[in-house]
Amino acid sequence: MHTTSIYHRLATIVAVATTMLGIIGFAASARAEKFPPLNDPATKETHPGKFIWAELFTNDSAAATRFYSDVFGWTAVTLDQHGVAYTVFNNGSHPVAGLRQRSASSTPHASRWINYIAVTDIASSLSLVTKAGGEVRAPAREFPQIGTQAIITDNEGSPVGLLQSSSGDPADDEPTPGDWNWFHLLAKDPLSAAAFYRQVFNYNVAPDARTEKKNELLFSSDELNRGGVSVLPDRESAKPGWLGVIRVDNLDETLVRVRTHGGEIVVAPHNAAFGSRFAMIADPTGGTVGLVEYENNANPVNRP
Amino acid sequence: MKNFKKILFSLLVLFSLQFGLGGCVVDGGGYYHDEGPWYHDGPWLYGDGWGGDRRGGGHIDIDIHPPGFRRH
Repeated sequence: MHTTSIYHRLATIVAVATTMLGIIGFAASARAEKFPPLNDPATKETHPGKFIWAELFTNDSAAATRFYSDVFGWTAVTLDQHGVAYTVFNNGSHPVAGLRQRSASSTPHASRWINYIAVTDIASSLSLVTKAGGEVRAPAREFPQIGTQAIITDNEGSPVGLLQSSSGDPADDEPTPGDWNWFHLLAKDPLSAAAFYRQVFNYNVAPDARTEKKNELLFSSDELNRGGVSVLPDRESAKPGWLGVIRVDNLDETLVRVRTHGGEIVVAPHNAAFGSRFAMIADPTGGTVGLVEYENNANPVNRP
Repeated sequence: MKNFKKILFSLLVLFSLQFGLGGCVVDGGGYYHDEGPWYHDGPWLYGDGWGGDRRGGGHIDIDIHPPGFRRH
C-alpha cells in the first residue's frame, strides 16, 4: 500500500475518533451544572472568623436529603458534576449548606457535618495549621462560584473547613429559623483548643461570662461571638468535634418531625441561656446537629 | 487545496482534543476539577462517636448555650 494512502486512512481514523471524543466530552462538560454563589448578588463584606458554610459528608445522600428537606423545610437542588452529585440546601432564597456524597468505595460510616470558617487569605491561614498542632486534610481548592475551600483537623483531630468566598461573606444579619445560629466545639482540653483557633483564625478568646466554668470559652471576631468551646463529656466513645446549631421556631414540633422522619434525639430538649431551649439530634445517616429555639422568637444581643 | 484540507483537518483534531479530553476528565471524588481527589477518606471524617455513642440508647450530657444574634 502506498505511504500516502496509509497516511490518509490513519488521518481519517484519528479525525473520526477525536470528533467522537469531542462530542462526548462536550456533553460531559455540559453536565457540570453551575453552583450557586454563597451571596447573590455578591457582597463586598469580609468577616474572617464567621462560619459561612456547612457541608454534610455522607454515604447516603438520598436519605440525608429527604431528612433535612422534611424536617427543616430546606429546598434541595442536586447538581451533577461530571457524574458526581452535589446537593445544595436552600433555606428560603439563600443557600445554607451542601451535601457531598462520600466516594462509593468508602466504608459506610456515620455522616459528618463540616463547618466552614471565613478567611481572607486561605494560604496564609493554612500555613499556620501545622505550627499550631493541626493537620491539613483537604488542601486549598477553588470551587467555581463558591470560592476556595480547605479542610483541616485541629490539635485534637476535630475537622473544620476554611472558605475564602468568591462572592464575599454574608452580612451579620440575625439568622432566621432554618439558618445556622451557632457553632460549638466540644474539646478534651478547651484551653488548648482555643489556643489553636486563636493562632489559626485570629479569634479573640474570652471566658463565657454566662457560666462560672473557666474552661467554657467564646471565640469572637468583628466584636461578635462566632463560636464557643466547652469540655467534651468524659466518655471514652465521645470524640471531640464541632456542632452546628440550627435555629428553629418551634423546638417541640421540630423534634416530632425529627422522629417521624427517622432521626433521633441525642440530647433531650432543655433550657439554656437567653431563654433559649436547646436539643441535639442525629439524622438517619448519623449526622448530628444542635437545635435552638428562642423564647417568643426574640433573639438577644450577641456580643462578647 | 491539499494544504487547505490539512489545515482544516489539523483544526478539527485540535478542537476535538480540547473539548474531548477536557470534558471527559472525571475527578475521583474530588469534584469539579481534574486535580485528583480533594481529600482522602479516613477516620477524621467519620461521624461515629461524635454526637454521642447511641448504642444502648445512651445520650451524652452536653451543656451548650447558643447565644442570640443581632446585627451590630
